[in-house]
Amino acid sequence: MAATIEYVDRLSTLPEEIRSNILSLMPTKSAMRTSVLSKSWRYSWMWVHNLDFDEIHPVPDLNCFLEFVNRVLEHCKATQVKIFRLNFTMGYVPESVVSKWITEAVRLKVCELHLKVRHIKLPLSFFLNKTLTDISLDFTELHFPLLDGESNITLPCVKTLDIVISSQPHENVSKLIHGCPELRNLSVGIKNCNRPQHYHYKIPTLKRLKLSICQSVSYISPVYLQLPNLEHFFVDGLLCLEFVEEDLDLSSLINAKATCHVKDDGLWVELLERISQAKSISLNITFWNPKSELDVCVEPLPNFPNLKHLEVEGYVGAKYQLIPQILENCSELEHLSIVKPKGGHWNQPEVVPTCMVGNLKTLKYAETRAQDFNRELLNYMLENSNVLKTLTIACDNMFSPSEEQRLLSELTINPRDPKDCRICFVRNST
Amino acid sequence: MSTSSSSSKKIVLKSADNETFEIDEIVALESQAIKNMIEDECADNVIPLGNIDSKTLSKIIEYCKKHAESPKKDDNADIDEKAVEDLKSFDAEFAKVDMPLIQDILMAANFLNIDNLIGLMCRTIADRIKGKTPEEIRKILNINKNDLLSPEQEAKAREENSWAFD
Repeated sequence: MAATIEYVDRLSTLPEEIRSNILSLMPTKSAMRTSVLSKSWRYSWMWVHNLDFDEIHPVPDLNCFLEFVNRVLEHCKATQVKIFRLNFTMGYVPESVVSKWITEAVRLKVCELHLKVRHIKLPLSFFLNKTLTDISLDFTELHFPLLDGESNITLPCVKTLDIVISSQPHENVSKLIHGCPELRNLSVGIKNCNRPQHYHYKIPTLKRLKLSICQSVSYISPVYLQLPNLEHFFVDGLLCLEFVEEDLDLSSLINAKATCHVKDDGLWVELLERISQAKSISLNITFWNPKSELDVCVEPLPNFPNLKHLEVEGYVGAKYQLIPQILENCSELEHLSIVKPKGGHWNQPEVVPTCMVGNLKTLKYAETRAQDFNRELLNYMLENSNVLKTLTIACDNMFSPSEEQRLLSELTINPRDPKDCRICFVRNST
Repeated sequence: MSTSSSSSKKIVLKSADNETFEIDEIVALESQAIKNMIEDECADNVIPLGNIDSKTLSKIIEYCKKHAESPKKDDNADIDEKAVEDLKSFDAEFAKVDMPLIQDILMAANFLNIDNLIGLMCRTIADRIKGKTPEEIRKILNINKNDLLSPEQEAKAREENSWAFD
């Protein structure tokens, strides 16, 4: 007899459920490979509850791939499939096949459906299901079954929808969006649209909205937002949306973030107006025409009555004038973050903004390199922020002790007790 | 944390090799199985765990201690991002052990019904075997040689699932 007990694969003795948990955490192709490991592992792949068919390199033989997906779906023994993910854009999967797979996934009571294929045809069964909670659809063409005018779409459990709008009429997608009575998170990607659309979103349950616009969109579309419970709002990409004031309801907005490329100066000021009730705003604006960055017509900015946190990255006006302008309009601001500002010379404002006098507690200023910091801006902020507690200075690389010393020596610390304001040097988080 | 240490009830766990571990009840409650025993009042002063050795058990206690002291997500208050990060890096470090111990921990976590720990061990195993060839996986998991498929059976399995073996 051997003196020591040889260690053997204990997973073989564990319930099938545990092995299927492990196999569900990898692409289905990897899971299926375990079928030759041993007798105990022979059929474990059939119990996986996540089906993940991701883009494979090199591009496989299409028929072989179709057969593989068919086989997995046919043999799937999980009582419920949690995730069905199909990411296959290199080859063309016929829409009838995609449609059949969706039907199969629905039969397996799928909770999360993530499809990224060229053409998607949604089968009728998709609209009758009661298990889906999370859907993402990315495609160049989306086909709906012929729904008669009377019948309404209802997907009762969907909380998260991530969908692309491309060159076809928006009505169907809009029907789908408004057919989710419990929708919490909506992400809409607008790409390759060849004519203006009207985007109406009237969703009382929505908490989080993201609108992403692809560069190839070249006209301006109006957007109507009636989202009384929306808390988080993100806009990114080319700003070609006109947020209509009429019937606008963003009364619960907490957090807004715009990372936009701007062609039309007026649109982003309008966007600022629409999000002006938020508690936290993050702006990163670039201009289509670099010239307009310099002589942009800064229209009267809105008031930001609730704003506590503000982050401004990139564009700040030719002479940093955007910073005092915004600060003047947000008297409650407590936390300001200025990230890699693109301004020329600092132009001192005539009046110190109200929030600096009584509220601004933390200031963060980030640059790429230690030598990039605008000393005048820093000193102005330090001298005039009466209740500032923390100044954080960040750059991409760690400051050397000599760089820290140099920067500190160039700061004119507030004549108040300098212990009141802590200065810390950190590295930009990536 | 601070409220639990002095006044709290202690539980003693006894491993297969007769080592005893005295822990706070709150730490033991991370195990759904022990929690059920305590609630049903069928736990004696000492809970014998005849199928878990002391090396595995001390790892499991280390995990439960850390997770018991961390603020729970459903505590409603602002989720402390630092605490979440801290727990994540603890988990990552915790999982840096060899495969036999990972399998022992998984077996024991399954027996003790500690959901988070089962999940962590499953993810660790999945990360170590995905993308590997069957030969490599057999080695990593130390698959029992008596359990191997015959060459004919293996050929059949490969043929049935041919796409997965390209």
